[in-house]
Amino acid sequence: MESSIERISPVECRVKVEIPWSDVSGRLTDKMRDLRRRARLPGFRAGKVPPQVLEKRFGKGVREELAGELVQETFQTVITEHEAQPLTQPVVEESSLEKEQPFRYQARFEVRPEIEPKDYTGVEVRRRPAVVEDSQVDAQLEERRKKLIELRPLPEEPGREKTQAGDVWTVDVEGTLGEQRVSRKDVRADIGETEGEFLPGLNAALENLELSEVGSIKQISFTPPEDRIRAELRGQEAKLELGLREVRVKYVPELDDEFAKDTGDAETLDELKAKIAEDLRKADAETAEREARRRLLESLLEANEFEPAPSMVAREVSAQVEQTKRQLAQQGMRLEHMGTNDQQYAARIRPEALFNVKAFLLLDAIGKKENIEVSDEDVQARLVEMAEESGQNVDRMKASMEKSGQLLMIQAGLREERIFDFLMEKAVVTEAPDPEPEGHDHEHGHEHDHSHDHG
Amino acid sequence: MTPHQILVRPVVTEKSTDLMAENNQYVFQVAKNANKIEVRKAVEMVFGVRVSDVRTQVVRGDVRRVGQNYGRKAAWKKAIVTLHPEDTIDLYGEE
Repeated sequence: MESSIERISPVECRVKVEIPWSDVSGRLTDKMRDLRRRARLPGFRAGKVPPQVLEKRFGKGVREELAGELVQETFQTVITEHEAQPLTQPVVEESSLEKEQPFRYQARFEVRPEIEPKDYTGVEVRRRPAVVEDSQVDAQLEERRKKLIELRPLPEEPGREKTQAGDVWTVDVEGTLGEQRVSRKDVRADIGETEGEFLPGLNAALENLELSEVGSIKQISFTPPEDRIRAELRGQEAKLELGLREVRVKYVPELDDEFAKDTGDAETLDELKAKIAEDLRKADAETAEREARRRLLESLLEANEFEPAPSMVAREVSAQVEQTKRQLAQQGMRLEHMGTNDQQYAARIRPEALFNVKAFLLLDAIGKKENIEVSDEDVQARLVEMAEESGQNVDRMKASMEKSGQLLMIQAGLREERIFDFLMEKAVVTEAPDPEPEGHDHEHGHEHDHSHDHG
Repeated sequence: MTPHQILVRPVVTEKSTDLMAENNQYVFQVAKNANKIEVRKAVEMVFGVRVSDVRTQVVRGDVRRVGQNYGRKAAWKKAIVTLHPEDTIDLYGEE
């Protein structure tokens, strides 16, 4: 068998293969003999169809089938022989299987572009310092506080006869909203609030209820406020029968050292604040690092121009489309609900997919050149980390990941991280805040030119 | 009758294939009312060959039963055409 591979574009190869007739003829005879045994033609007894008739009726099909098989079989060996890494199935351009003639074929397939990475050290990258606003800390604090809200039984309060803001009713709801039936037990109604209401307007309707009515059943009707209800239900009257089960009062903890202790994270309020601020700073620093790495990638891709194989981009696009669809499906939605469809969405994410593929190829090429590898021990260490986080058994997790191919992804992810670490180490990182969004585009361009002069 | 109305279809069976290979004879189903002379002319015209002999026979239709009723498949005329030794017909054609 003779074969040759040539590159016809940065991302495509053509393979030419020639197989001598002596290797093919046996296979063809076998196939014809097999066909003769199986063939059933009207006018002939089974297995008695003369070879000439078979040849005339099925000869071409059989030869094509055999040609296909031969391509499948030899393609692999040829690929390994020439150490090519095809990304796609071979597309046969020409093939001819004739009697007494060597079988020749020509096929095209896509490969990864060969990238010789350059100028990837000493790249100037801007990383913005991590910032934490006091308001963010306060918001976090408020979140924590909400989590610690307790519902306590109503204290004996002489003179208090009606529910007021801050009370929480538990009611069973039964009735109709317009035409629709409504029925739910254990509905929580926070008096004085509108967030998370079972039915808009219900909380307001419960305001000023007599406390003595606990345990009774009460009929009410109201029209939910139009601005907070779905259009098709607007203006419909709700007629409800409420089982007034219980009323409790909301207890919001004070922001003091006691509260800090209750969160279990700190001893004093100041300590808690500092801790929250630190967490936020860390998270923001990570975001800043990610942004910086993205910028680094962008400038690297500018310096290293190449075309990725179309099949890789297509695969990335379809993978992302599928992922989005899965996520939507979990919420019982489809792309159509977002006012788009498969094709439109694919077109929209294509630039990003292209960037991802190029980034992946470039990083891989740099990793290869710099011999950045990830050992099994590194992967194992990462797995242990992950197992601890999710509280799973390491070995069991590893086994299941191996099966689903996730293990390879983790390894690839680690390697990419390493390569990034290497690149950031070699890069010239300047700490500067993001430029103001308005009118600074040009200045940014200048900065860029400047950096090249220095390099 | 046009030649294609006369020649209904070639008969491809074990026996006819043997005749083809051994005697250069080709078997056709032909129109029931066509005679040997018409068959000869039709074959010569359609395939551009020289016909040396035509023999015909009427094949009786098989008896078939549907439930309690007996019936017969239609009878048809078979023509065995012997060609000039130098001529052949490619009945299968290139598919």
